[in-house]
Amino acid sequence: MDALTLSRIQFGVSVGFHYLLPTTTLGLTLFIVIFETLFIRTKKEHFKAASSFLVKILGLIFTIGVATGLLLPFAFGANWARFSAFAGAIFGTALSIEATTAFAFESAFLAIVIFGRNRVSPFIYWLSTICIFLGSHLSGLLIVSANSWLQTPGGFAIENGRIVMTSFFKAFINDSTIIRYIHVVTGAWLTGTFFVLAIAAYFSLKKIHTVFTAAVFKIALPIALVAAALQPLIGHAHIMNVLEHNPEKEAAYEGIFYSVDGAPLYSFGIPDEKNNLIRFGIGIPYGLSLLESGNPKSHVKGLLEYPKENRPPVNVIFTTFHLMVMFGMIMLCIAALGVFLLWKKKLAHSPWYLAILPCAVPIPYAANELGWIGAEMGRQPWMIYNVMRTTQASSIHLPAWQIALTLGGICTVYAFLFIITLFFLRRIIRLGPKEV
Amino acid sequence: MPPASLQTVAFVLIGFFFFMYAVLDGFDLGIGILLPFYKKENKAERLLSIITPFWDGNEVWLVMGVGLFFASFPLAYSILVSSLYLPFMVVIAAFIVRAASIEFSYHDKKNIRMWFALISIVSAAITFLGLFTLGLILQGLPITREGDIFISIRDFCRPFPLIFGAFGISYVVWHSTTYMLTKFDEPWVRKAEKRFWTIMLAISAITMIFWALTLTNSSRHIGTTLGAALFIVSIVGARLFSANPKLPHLCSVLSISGFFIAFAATLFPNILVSSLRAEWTITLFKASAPESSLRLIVILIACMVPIILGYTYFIYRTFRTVDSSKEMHS
Ligand code: HDD
Ligand code: HEM
Ligand code: HEM
Repeated sequence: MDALTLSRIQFGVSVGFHYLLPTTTLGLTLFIVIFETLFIRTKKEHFKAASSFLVKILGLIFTIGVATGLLLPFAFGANWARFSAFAGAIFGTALSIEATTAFAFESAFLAIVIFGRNRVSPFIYWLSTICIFLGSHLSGLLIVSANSWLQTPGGFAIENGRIVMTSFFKAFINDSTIIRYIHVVTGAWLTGTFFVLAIAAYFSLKKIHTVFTAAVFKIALPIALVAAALQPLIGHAHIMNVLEHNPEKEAAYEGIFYSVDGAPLYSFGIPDEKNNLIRFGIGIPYGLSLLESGNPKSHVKGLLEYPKENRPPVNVIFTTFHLMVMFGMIMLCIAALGVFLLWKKKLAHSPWYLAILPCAVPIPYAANELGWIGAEMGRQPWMIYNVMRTTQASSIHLPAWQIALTLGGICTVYAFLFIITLFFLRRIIRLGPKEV
Repeated sequence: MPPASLQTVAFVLIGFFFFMYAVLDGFDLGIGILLPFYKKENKAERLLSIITPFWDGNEVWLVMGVGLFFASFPLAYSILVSSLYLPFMVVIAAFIVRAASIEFSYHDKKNIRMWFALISIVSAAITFLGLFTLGLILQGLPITREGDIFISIRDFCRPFPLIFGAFGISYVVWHSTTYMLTKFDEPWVRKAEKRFWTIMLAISAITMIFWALTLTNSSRHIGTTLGAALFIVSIVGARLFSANPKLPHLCSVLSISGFFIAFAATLFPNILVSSLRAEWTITLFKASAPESSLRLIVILIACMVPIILGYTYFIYRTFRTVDSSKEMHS
């Protein structure tokens, strides 16, 4: 295992684990703002109790998010020194703006939200929840725009061997920033809804905190349905963006090796990179052409048309992409079923459905991780698409044994962090919201 | 603004962020170190309660400093962090464990002593390694012509960085006692403040002697001496005006600013001094980001600083009165 592969694994693991927390943070802040707004408008105590309960959960999630996030700004300089020196003008600027505008803002007002409810007026408290909502979503925007710059670089020039920023807007609102951000935020809100629904279902099964569960079902299920229904459409727009700007990745996602008129849309299949084919591929004939251009017979360029050294790892990203879409569809069904039962007022006494929700919690997290793994490994072999290869990006003088040591350290620390966080999360949930 | 002055402003802003981090997270780290040593009448819990709302916000100053360092001097950032790979990873692991232990100590009252011990160890590690790195930078790193650093264990065992590390621990501990004084003006706090002041004074004296000896060739004598003078005057002032509970803390903040003025003056206009050959030193100019992004980031960050100071002051004012720790996790 050479230093580069170890660095890639280490970065993937550290960002991948970190990402579990921001999605939950973004999802939870959405519901905290909703409940707090309802409390300000209706003065009903149970909304305040619901919001305070979610704030206690957010306190734990946010701190572990900060703990795992701290490693990442150093990880660029440590494992990717040549990349940091080469693209510091845009990437460093992105991280610096994110820290100074978003992190400072959300961390400061988080203090009021978690510890300051009876130190400030209800209006100031409501305003603070808005601040942490905006702060965390702004940090998401800035970091996703930095990642999108890697996927679709813009607004730069290369002068004496390094990146120079020529246009701030073209660099930060580059070709795939908007669609990726919308997709990421919808994914985060979907995660938030399933997180909150799972808790409500758990209480409902035990017939406790009925006021809280009723409020959560009424609010979270419709949002889950809308988000889960929009995600495939946003995903489609995302695919068209990838088709336009990263064609190799799109061909690999869809498993199209040979150019063909009227390509099939695989919904399942085992990719075989070596022999350039998809085994046991089940799909809709001419589906992909129809999807991409509305004409079932339209020409679709195959992966083999692109130079061999520019092709992403098909086996991995074909699978992660299709799993993500599958999980998206599963969540859509669960949400639709839930809204139907809610509408028919049969939700409280259909334990079979309430039992599904707590088990469905890992699905949005899996979909998010698979989405990112697909996006990042799909970007391979480029670090910055068509500008810098990943092999040129890593730190040269970093011996493999040091990375192996730190990778082992990160995995053990994060494993403990994961278990202990889940343990205390369970304890907070069992305590439940204050009875009103 | 010509690039040279942009680089200087960036250098000053980075210095300001690390200064604010040293002042604000300084007392979090100091209290963290002291937690296990106060066993009776839940003194430790009371100490934790005066940093609980602030420690996360205080930590962001470091992230802002590192972010600005990456944005303004990407060459220096990548060389420093990739060559001191293991020390930086140990510091980050310490930060992760600190953040997690503080959070878990709220939820796990049963073995809170274990969490306090863990917080203490990692806070000491962060402080020691942080100042150790500053000492290494001041002393100079073996940078080659191509700008690579081949660090060996020998470089780590030099006395100067080790003294800096010890100075760091003694200083943050005293600094935190001055912060405690602003919150509880009680005999046990006054006793601790006096005791740790004397320890800090002794170690500071040694540090200053080593600093003067090893860095006689530093070009900026005026700035360094000015900073050292401010440092000495402030810590003496902290002793003289210790009657008023608020003043020692103010003096401590002044002495930290003295330290940073001396540090910046010794380093300026370089960022990474090469101990091999003078012309291989990485200056602000050599490490600087291109002018277009440097201008943008310096102007944006300069505008953000007053806003951040504004709402940070608002947060500190909201939590100025100490409530019982019950309220801390209502
Ligand atoms: C879309 C969301 C998202 C993504 C993809 C990332 N982060 Fe993150 N990050 C957040 C969203 C977020 C957040 C929601 O803003 C966090 C989580 C909890 C928190 O405190 O802020 C956070 C925390 C956080 C912190 C601690 C901030 C503090 O002290 O308050 C740092 C330094 C980073 N992140 C840096 C990164 C880097 C360098 C990333 C890319 C490699 C990254 N994050 C991916
Ligand atoms: C947020 C969730 C994310 C996940 C789960 C994720 C996952 C991954 C994975 C699996 C890899 C290894 C891929 C490979 O090297 O083959 C990787 C690499 C990388 N990612 Fe991400 N990523 C995420 C976000 C980001 C963001 C926001 C950025 C930039 C701001 C980013 C920048 C990088 C870089 C620089 C590498 C190393 C170079 C490379 O391997 O391509 N990632 N990430
Ligand atoms: C249901 C149909 C879906 C489609 C068609 C779809 C489409 C896509 C595509 C094409 C990408 C890759 C973009 C790139 O390579 O940069 C992607 C990435 C991603 N997806 Fe999905 N997706 C779907 C569902 C979901 C769901 C349900 C979630 C989460 C709950 C999700 C979360 C993500 C994330 C986090 C990324 C990585 C960030 C990015 O590159 O946008 N997706 N999705």
